[in-house]
Amino acid sequence: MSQYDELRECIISGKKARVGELTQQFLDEDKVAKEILDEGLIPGMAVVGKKFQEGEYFIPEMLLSARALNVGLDLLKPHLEASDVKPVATVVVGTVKGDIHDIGKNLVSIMLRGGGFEVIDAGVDVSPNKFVEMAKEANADIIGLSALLTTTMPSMLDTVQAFETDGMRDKVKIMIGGAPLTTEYAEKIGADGYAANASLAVEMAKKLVGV
Amino acid sequence: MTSKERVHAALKREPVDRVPIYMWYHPETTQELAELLEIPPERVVAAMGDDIRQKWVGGNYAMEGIVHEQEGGSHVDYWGIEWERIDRFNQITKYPLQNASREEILRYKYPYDKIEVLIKQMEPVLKQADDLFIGCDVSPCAFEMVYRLCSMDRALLNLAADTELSTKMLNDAGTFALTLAEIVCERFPIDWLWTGDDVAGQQRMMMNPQSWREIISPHLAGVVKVGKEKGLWVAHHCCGATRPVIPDLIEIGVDVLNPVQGNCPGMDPVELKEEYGADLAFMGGIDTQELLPNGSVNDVRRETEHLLDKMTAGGGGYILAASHTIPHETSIGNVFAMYEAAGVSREEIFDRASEIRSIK
Repeated sequence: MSQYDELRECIISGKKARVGELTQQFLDEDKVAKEILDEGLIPGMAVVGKKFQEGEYFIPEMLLSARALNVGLDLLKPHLEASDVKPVATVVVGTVKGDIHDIGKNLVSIMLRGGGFEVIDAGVDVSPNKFVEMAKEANADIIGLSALLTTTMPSMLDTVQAFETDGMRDKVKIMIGGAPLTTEYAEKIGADGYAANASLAVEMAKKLVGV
Repeated sequence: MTSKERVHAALKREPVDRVPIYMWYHPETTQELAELLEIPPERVVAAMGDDIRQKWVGGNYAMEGIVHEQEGGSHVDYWGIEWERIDRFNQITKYPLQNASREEILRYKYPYDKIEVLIKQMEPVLKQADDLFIGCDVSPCAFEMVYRLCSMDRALLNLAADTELSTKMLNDAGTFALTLAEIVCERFPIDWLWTGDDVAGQQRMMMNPQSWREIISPHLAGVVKVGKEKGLWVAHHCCGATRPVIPDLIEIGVDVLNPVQGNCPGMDPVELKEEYGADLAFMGGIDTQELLPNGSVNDVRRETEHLLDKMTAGGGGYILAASHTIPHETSIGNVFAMYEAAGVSREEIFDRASEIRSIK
């Protein structure tokens, strides 16, 4: 039994109020924020990802856990920043130009945050240059591109090329996801990886930054 | 055989002269075909030989029925949803209840006062009811309508976080669709009632199938029942990986399933036909995500021939259609290839276009 078992379970079952209470309680007891994150919140979300992957959880359960996670993360954030704890990596995610479907991108953001990544959400209908700008601003390690429509898939290629044109391509890894996409398409446009769902996106992101 | 006879026969698994066809075209493809055939865009489906005419009288009217000429053109529909033309499609840019309080959601009223305006959409197609098979689309019937009002994130979260509110919203959506269904089935000589509710993604259902059965399906079942009690066929549209609930759809009375996205897990049309073909007919299956936009004419012809061979086994129960709107980047050659595989030659299409011109 770990002292963080209940916190982890509350993440898994999406009990946001209890996650808030427990996280605050640990902080009040002078527990290190990084430890609360690494032993409570992140392992909880890893179980959520596994349950999603195995077909036990669906999107509503994942969103419920995410809501609970955010309560915990918000409480920990000032402490993590104060102690200069670095995230696993920084990811800029967005839905590409011409496309405003965002549920897939939002789920990927949730699972990446739950995996200890810093996520900057660029929103929807994001132009290639905007992705480059945001990547520079955030000093991003990974760019996550999302698309639902076949007609907007070419925007992914445009975005990859914008990073090349700007001389930024070697500084970031680019991963893609969305209904009509495949690993082959990722290879074809020169992206570094494809993930079929939000849970696999975390694994892919870790692989891309060698964690 | 008239188109009407052809579709009814196919659905009854009786002999037909050719497979019935019902394609959904992007306005740009329609325009391209209109120019090629030298006829007005609104006559393109007639020249192509499509057998079914249908209009949207519910929320889909706002998405599909209003076409903005320019990118950035937008409108707010009767439900308060703001649509904007972005990259050639109307996409939602404002959900009226996305940030609404629980009380505001409870007070929300569906546009019952606009029903007469909405059902007027049916007038032009009803004029062709002698020869053509006529449908009326009352979708989205339940969950899809809820997420158009409050955003997909909120609608999905509510399923787990606030079942009471979810149930209330689903009930309101279902009641509106049911009211539309009752009116159109009573008033118009339609051949099928078209229902629909998108609840699945590319890989799987959005929500647990058991949740769907408990809190979404009853609302859909009510709408389907209206059509069945009038002795009509009932078609149902749900994109994505819907396999887990296909037996439930059959159980509540659905006769035809659309759009059958074969590249989603569990959705191979041939497999579905073998398993459920005795109770369920299918419309769709020609892949819009890879085959139509990127395949060659030969690929499209071969795949359509294969599908027709397998899907009409056992005497019919199949309507040829793409697995959604034909993407605008699809070549005209690929469009003709589907028709040719179904026995509708390019020559026949051009002849019909010529007749249309001469009547004009």
